[in-house]
Amino acid sequence: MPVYNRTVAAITLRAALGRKRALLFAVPPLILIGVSALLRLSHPADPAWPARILGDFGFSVVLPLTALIIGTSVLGAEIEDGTIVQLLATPVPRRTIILTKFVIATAATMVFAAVPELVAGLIATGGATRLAVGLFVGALAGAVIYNALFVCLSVATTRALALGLFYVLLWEGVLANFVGGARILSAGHYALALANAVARDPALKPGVNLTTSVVMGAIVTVLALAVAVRKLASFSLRGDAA
Amino acid sequence: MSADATGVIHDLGYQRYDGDRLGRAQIVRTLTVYSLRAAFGLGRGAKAKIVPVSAFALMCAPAIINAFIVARGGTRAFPYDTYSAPVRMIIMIIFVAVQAPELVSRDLRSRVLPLYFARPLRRGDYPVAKFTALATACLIMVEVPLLVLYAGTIASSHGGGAVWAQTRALLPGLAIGLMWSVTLAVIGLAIASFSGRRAYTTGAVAIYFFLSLALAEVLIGVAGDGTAGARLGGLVSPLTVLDGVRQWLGGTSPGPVPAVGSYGAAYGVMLLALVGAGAAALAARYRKAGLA
Repeated sequence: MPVYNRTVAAITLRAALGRKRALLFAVPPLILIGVSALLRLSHPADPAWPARILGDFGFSVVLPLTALIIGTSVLGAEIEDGTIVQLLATPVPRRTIILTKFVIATAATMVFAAVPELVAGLIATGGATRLAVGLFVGALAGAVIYNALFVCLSVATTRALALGLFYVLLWEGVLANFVGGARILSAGHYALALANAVARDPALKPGVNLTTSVVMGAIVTVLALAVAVRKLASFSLRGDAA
Repeated sequence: MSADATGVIHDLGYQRYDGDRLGRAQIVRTLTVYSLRAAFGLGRGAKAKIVPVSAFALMCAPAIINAFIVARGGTRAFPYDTYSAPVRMIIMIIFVAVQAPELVSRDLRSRVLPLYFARPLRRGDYPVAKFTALATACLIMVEVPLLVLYAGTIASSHGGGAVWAQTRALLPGLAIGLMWSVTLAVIGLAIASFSGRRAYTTGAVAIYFFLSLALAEVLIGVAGDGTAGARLGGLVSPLTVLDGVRQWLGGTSPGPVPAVGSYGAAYGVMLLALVGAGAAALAARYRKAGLA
């Protein structure tokens, strides 16, 4: 069974990034790169500033927010419009639909969050340093895990973006940083552990070790995609009561 | 009326409405009330209530925890002017990001604006009604937890002097809540009114508020204690601007922005600029009743 369908991919790409929508995704990475450049020119007092702007801003905010909006919209927009019916009526397997949409969402997140993270890292640290490369690797992994979660969420509920905001802002943003136990279930910390394996920068403060994060990250990704496929397999279109 | 209408081809003899026409003010009032109800999902399905209700419950959590702490003999756990700053900032971002599109984007999406403007409603009335509704909703989100905090505290304090001290501390907190509501509502609506796609506008509002907040925190962090950079770093985000203005107006509790010192006026100017820009954008958006 094919896991990737070019037509579905083309439709998804055009719907997700067409017209002015792409502008929304382009602004955060431009801010990330611009602020990194400005900070480099202004020589801030805190010597750990590259880890802060790249980690606390690029990695913990730009990456999950970009993944959230792209990940919930690749399938969510079709469900909201009702065009998903046309797609489901074709002989394309449901699994292929999910996996294709997931691949597109992940690729788009990598372009709009991971690559800018690398560019900002190169600017901030002045070359292909461990920190810049490490955060890039972590962001690539983060794009995969986050998008699996958000694609799954968008099949499960019509209010995926709102619930995803709670998850990103409260769970990843607050709980995972204050409550140690929440880190074991935090996609952000899996990606951060991976980044730290390359970067070895104590300022990144990863909450889980590398083995745990690789194993848990893989489990979460596969599980989320499996649930998404099952949900779409038994998908029935309901009118939006809200 | 139908008696002298004989011979008029197009009079189908339907009954005319002879009652009072309540006019423009009543339309604005009704629109405001319905929008306010929509902001909390009232009159809608259970799904529409999930976000506002859970946001409200989470917002009240610190105040309820405070009631237990005070009842066990502790002192008030959260100040009235900042409440629990991280909780309030994050919950309000989620609330505005999800509910502002609920108020304006849906009307754009279902193309009902021309129907509104077919009534004796002036161009400015629609955004004013929507703004009043969202600002009131934000006011409920911000002030009710403060009142719970106050009630929980005075329930365990003894003597009129203690109650009066709490009341005097509460009043500036309520005023700051009003400032928050107006600012967040006008900016949120201005961003949300640009598209009929709720997913898109929710993302745009969330990105603007959350990204700028994280950026402000990083800028404040890297600039070093007490430097001008740390004091001015908060200017990039509406939420930290609100905190800077709070300190400028005499708020003493530590907040997300370090002591603004002599830069307080810059925060005041920035707040007026943000609110002004939001209001101008909103007014410009509805000057023409475009369909999308």
